[in-house]
Amino acid sequence: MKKYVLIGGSIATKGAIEGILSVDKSADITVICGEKRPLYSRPLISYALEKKTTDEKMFFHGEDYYEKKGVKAVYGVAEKVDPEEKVVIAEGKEYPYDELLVATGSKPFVPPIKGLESVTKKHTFYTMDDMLALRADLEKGGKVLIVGAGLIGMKCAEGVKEYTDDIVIADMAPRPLPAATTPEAGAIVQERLSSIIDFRLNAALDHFDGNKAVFGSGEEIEFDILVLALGVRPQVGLLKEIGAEVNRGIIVNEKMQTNLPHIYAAGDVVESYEAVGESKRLLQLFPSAYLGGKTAGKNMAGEECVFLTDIPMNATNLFGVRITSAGLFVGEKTEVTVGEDYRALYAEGGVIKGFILIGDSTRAGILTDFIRKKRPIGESDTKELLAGRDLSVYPADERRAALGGKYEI
Amino acid sequence: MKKIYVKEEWCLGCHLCEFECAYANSGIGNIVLALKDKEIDPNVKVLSDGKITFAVSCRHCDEPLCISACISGALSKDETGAVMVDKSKCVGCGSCVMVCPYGAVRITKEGTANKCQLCMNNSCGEPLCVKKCPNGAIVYEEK
Repeated sequence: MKKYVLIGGSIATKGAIEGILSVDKSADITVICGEKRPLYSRPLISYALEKKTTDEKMFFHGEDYYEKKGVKAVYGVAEKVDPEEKVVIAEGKEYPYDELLVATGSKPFVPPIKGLESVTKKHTFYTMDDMLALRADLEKGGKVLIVGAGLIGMKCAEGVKEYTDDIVIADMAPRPLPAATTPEAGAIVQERLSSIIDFRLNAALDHFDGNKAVFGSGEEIEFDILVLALGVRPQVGLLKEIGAEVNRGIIVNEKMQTNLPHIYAAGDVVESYEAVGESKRLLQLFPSAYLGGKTAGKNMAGEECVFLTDIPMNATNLFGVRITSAGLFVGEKTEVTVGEDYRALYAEGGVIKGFILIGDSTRAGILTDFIRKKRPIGESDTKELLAGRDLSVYPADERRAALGGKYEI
Repeated sequence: MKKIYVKEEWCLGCHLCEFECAYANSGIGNIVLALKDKEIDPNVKVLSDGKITFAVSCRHCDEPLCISACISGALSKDETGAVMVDKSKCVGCGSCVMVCPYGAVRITKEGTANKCQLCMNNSCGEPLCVKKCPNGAIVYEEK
């Protein structure tokens, strides 16, 4: 019986478990979870803070997911990988493997800001523990400063709003969601949310002085609770120290293999192939983690498969403003405004490179499929694609085969 | 598993499947009470490429992208392989809509995901769109 060890207990690991079991029904799988919790969904932390879901439902496939899958869970931190002996050492014990997955994820990035140690209530917002700690402080009341207006900071704000209206979000960037949107879309989001959120944009943080943030402009903001949402960094240490190829993340090939034999990696920790830019990069997205993990799992179990259709994508709803995007915002832009909705599509060389939709996202997956598969736009009008996309935009024989069950798009 | 398949050459474009779907999922035992003066939001949609019409509903893919992207566990496969929705878990993020290549999942006015569940989640027990299609353009079979 083949022994599989998976380090990390989140989405990539879930994908790997399901990938392995689809090939090797008698697999002996051990998961080493540094977070010391059963499998849960990290993106739900903001929804749990917001009370849109419960703490219990964060364990999104049941608290007994590992048991149901026949997987042994070790709640502890993996300290070392010995690729010669093929063992992982965690909490002083040895776990031998035939195939290893490293899905150690990332960690919130906390830069060395002067005076940060003098802040009494400071948080990051990434794990369930982070959410529980923030919630405990919010329940006592007070004014909140969130530094970072990216997706994590903005979703955090939505949750925080459940406890207080006294929130300021500061970012060095000139608009919210600087990485996930375009300047045009970011400006619309900013405008729609400006009555709800007190933004401080183009605001470079200089230092903290107790519970006061001092910005480069000289502005001072007092707060009771601080949340730092300044992005995350892959936790590459375990493999870096044994000679894995590492850039910002662990470099993997299209099978999610590292350069070390029998060692795979997936999820937030990897730099993997991205189909629009046709190069390796950090994606750090939920579907990428799951599908990358699944690809790794199948290969680990002996079924060759490659993951060549991964692209950046994001769907979220911020205070009622729905934002859906995929691909890269490069090439020629086509913009359409329909009522309150803003839609932009980016194309180059006859294929769609990216899109962003604010508002209605009906059938957005069809545009996503165009990007993933590099489908030629052909004679389709890009404005029509943005407005009324549906299955009729695919080639007729492909559509017929898919609807007739001969083929999956 | 048994799935819904579409024989588009037989589709009349009558949209009856849409109404039967809305009725099947209304929870109301009388079609008039269920649909009269109501705007329907069915799980099957009749579309056209300008020449031919066809009914589109969830394909219940072998490896569904919607489930891969679902952050809340609201979408999952049941023991038969059908992709089911648990509305009580859905947070309405729209990730499923972002990835479904068929455009067969949507966020309803309630703010949660919905799609064809083969009438397994209502009292019909078999897809009503198939049963009521007047021209045999939608079938429910094992392939």
